[in-house]
Amino acid sequence: MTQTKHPRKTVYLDYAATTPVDTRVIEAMRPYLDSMYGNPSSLHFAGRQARRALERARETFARGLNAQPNEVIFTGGGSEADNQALISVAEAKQNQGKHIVTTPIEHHAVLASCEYLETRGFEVTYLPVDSEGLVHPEDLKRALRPDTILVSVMHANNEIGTIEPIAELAALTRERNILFHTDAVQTGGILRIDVQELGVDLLTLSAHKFYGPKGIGVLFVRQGTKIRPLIHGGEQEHHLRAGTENTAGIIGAAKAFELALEAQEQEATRLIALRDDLWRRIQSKVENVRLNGHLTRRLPNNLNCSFYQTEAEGLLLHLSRNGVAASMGSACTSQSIEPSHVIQAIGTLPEWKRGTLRFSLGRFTTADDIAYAGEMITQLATEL
Amino acid sequence: MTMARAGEQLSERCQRAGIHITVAYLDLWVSDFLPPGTDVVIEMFPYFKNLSIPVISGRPFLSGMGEKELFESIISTLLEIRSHDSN
Repeated sequence: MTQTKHPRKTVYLDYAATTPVDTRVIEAMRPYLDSMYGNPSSLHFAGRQARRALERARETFARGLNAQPNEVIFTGGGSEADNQALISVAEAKQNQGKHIVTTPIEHHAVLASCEYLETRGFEVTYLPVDSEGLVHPEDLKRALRPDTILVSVMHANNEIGTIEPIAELAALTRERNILFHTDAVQTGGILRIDVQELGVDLLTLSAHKFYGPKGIGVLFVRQGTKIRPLIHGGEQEHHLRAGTENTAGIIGAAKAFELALEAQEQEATRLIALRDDLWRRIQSKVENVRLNGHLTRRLPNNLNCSFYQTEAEGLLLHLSRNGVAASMGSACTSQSIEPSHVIQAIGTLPEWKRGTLRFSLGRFTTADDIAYAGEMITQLATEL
Repeated sequence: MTMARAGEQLSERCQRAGIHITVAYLDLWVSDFLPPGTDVVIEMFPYFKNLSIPVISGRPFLSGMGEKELFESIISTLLEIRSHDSN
């Protein structure tokens, strides 16, 4: 068994879990941690300074999403934004109906919010997904009812990388006056996001997925959308999110978003080439391996594959000992020894599902990293 | 089957076979230190090598196939160790 106490190289292939903060982002944040520390709600010069920076950050996100600045709400993370999109909208619209539609492959922030709403008398329909994780518009069409108030389908899946047909799905809800939320945590900064083209009413981003700081979420709320605050106790964020704004974090998030958008196309092309190279390396040496997710409608940085009759945790542990960081599913479920809910939902057969690993590439992944990771993965997968 | 459940069942079966055992669970992400006096290791994936004690694959506990045979194999290994010790 290949087992090295001091690996000759370390390769981080878990960018879908989190990313390092870009040094340019840290530089942008630094003044707001020391010299420009004012509370944006304060009336004096220090407060005004922070307020101006905060509103510029809001404009950055609005421009990047093709939204209006007053449609951008900063939260304490992607999970909070998802919770607000689901719970606060459902509560605000419950007089119109109590039916919500989502999918079984959403992030737990959405699924757990739905479970919570079920305890509050809401009914949730979980749309089927096909073996590649795709949601089909005709299934959504069938699921919609006169009392449906909200549909939530993620932009791209965090585990298998499948990109959902959001524009087509949202068009179905728009014509019926039903709100549409998409969790775009995995696509923010990676894919072009235009809320007008997508036709969504609510959209979630998380800064630490695109080289920004942790603890900053962004919720796009289309003007006129009925929504309540989730956190009470202040008038911040257009009365929708109480609490003193994390100015430095928000400035960092905006800088990170700006940087990600600047290099988006070239970076996507580069990542696709590296990811496909990794897949080729694995496929050429490991006999029993299969790709999960859609072949083409997938995130540029995502490779999710299953190794036949292999215990993924063992593979992950040995990879880690050899300097390669990967994941069994999403970071939030990786402590669980059971195959993830996504792998189960796409109908993966038992002999494959326990051997599922996700490799997610990012800004600092190099061709050398892929060569080393490829060598380790193939060697260990063959030995195990 | 979860590891905790497998451990409980193993203890019960061993009890019936007249062997008293203590099951310790190792989280290999944290440590691979085997408690002194360990008689047998059941590993869920290939990990331990060159140990002086028997190492048995516990994969059937995960797949659910061949569980009965696995329990029998663990018990017979333990009985063998006990008979060696008493000699």
